[in-house]
Amino acid sequence: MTLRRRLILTLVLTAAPLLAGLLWLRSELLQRTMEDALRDSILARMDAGGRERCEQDPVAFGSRRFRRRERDETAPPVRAPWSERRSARTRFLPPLLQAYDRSFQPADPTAPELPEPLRATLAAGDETAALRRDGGVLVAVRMPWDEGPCAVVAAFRPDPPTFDTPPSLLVGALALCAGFLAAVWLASSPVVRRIRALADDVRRSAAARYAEPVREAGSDEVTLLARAFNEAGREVRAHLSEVEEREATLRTFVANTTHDVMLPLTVLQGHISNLRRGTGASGADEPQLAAAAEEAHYIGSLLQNLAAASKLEGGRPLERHPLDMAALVERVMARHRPVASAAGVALDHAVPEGALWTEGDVTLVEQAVGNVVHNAIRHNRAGGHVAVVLDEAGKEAFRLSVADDGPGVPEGQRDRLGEPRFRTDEARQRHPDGLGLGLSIARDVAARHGFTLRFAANEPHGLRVELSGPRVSAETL
Amino acid sequence: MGDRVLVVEDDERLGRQVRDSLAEAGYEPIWLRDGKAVGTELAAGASLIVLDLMLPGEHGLDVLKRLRRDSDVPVLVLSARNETADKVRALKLGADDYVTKPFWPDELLARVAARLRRPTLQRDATVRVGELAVDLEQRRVALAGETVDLTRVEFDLLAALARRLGAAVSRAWLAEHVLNPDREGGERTLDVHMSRLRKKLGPAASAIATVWGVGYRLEPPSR
Repeated sequence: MTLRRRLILTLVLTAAPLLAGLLWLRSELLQRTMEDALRDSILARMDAGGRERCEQDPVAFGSRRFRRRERDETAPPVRAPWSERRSARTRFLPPLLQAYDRSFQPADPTAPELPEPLRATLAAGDETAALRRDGGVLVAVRMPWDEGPCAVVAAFRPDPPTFDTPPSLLVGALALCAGFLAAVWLASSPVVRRIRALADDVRRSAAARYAEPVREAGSDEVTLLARAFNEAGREVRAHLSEVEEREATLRTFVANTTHDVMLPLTVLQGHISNLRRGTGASGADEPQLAAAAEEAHYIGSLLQNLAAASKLEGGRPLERHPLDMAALVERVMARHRPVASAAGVALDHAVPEGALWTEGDVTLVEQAVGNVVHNAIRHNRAGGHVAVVLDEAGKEAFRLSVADDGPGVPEGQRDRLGEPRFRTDEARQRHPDGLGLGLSIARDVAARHGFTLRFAANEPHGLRVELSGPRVSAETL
Repeated sequence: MGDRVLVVEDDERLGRQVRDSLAEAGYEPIWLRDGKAVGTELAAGASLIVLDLMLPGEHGLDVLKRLRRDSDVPVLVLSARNETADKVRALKLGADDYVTKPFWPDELLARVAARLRRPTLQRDATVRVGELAVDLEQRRVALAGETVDLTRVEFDLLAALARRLGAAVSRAWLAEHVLNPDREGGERTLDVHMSRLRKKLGPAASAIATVWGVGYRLEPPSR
């Protein structure tokens, strides 16, 4: 429910009973006034000769004028109802008085009986008793004297027409209500507008990662709210930048460490290479040197994979540039030929003549392709083959396949290749120290680039990994 | 003496290794430890420059920028920071290729050789491998001077391999570009043509290697 609707509903819910209460109070006051006036009138008239007249002829006292109209002496006395015991022109004549003795018995046989509630009240010792009935008020007053047939005098007065709520009063009340509603509407408008503006401001600020404060115009509660939001925004921002700073420090640390390790690793690879050349393929140390070459290569690729993983997991957008897949494959080949030869695996490749352009982050794609190739070499055996073929797949796409004649991967496990930390049984046995990071990075890189990475069996045995993606034409570069 | 290669590398151990492996491979390396030492004259006399990026004094990219003002000598960048931005900037500034650390000496040599080989790639119309001569323009194949009678497909097959001497050509590429796709398509047909070609070439056919999982390669004459 909106603020304005709530205000109006509240107003209606409080005003309606209030109005009813006021009307009731008005009628109550009117009645009380009438009762008082009637009592005063009774007392005054009894005081001004009424008592004497009453005690002289108590039968005729109350019904004198009434009798005069009836004039039927022969008819048996009939008790007339209170509503008829009144002057013909009630408005301008004082009401008829009716006299009773102390035990509330009238001397006049046609006089109406005094109703029980009035008797009870008077019997309880009250001076006056009043009762609403027949569209008027009946008041009975105990006289200052306690003797004779006129110890209690009662009179009935019908309500004046003004007693009912006049339509004008109702109209006025309704108009007043409408006025209030309009006032509430008008008064709430600027508040509602400001709250809406504040909500827009807050949304904008949140979109800008709280860099933009919301406006704090004015000096009311809405301003207070805006100020509180700005304070909260500053807190969030401070927290955010702290987290970002920490992340950046960590990234720099990883980058620096990687950089510091790469140089000695290159030198180490150089030494291993020289030693192997020195001993020759038939040297006694060759198996150890070949293993050392593989381990050194593995450490290098592990470091590059960690860097790639932090880049992929940072959630930052990819750096997309045109990249030549043919040149990329050539670089990957040059990099892996030394380890392939150390492992006794024949590594061959074919790329189309000229460049084959696609778009992406060259470091990541190169790492992904390198991982697939390294994987094929690492899980193959001496005397095995790895074939890397880049082809145009029509005018729009490229297809890179890396096939090996190693042990392959059983069909059930093939679907899980590339899942983070998934390793085949065979991989666990042969390289227990591995993380299974390489293929999962290849899969992530492919997914982030919109490339397709598929694993299939290579006949008669081995694994075939296919990476395909869109080409961009040389003209658009 | 081989091609002169300028090596700009500040690290003693790595610099020495790179210099030695280049020398062993028959190049004439000149090793500079500082980017500032790379002058126009030195650059002009070199066939290729191997340039490290993280150099004291002048950053590798600044050296590259300075070099490119008046030199077209091929530049191979060595980078320890495997950052895409670095590579893209280096290539934009005119570098020809890059090698990321850690690298194998053979890897670097392969990249250097690829750079130096490229401009002189098969200018001759005739490719010679031992006694085999493939005249690409006249569409003629001779064995020790004797013309060999080849069908169109057989010649195109041999020519495709000869044009990219020493590099494997994939079966898919050959099937698509050599065979008439309407009549002959299919890699099985390719094998049939290849076996006929080999028969016609006799002993010289040993120069055509079957490359496992890839296709065929015409092996260059060994030095």
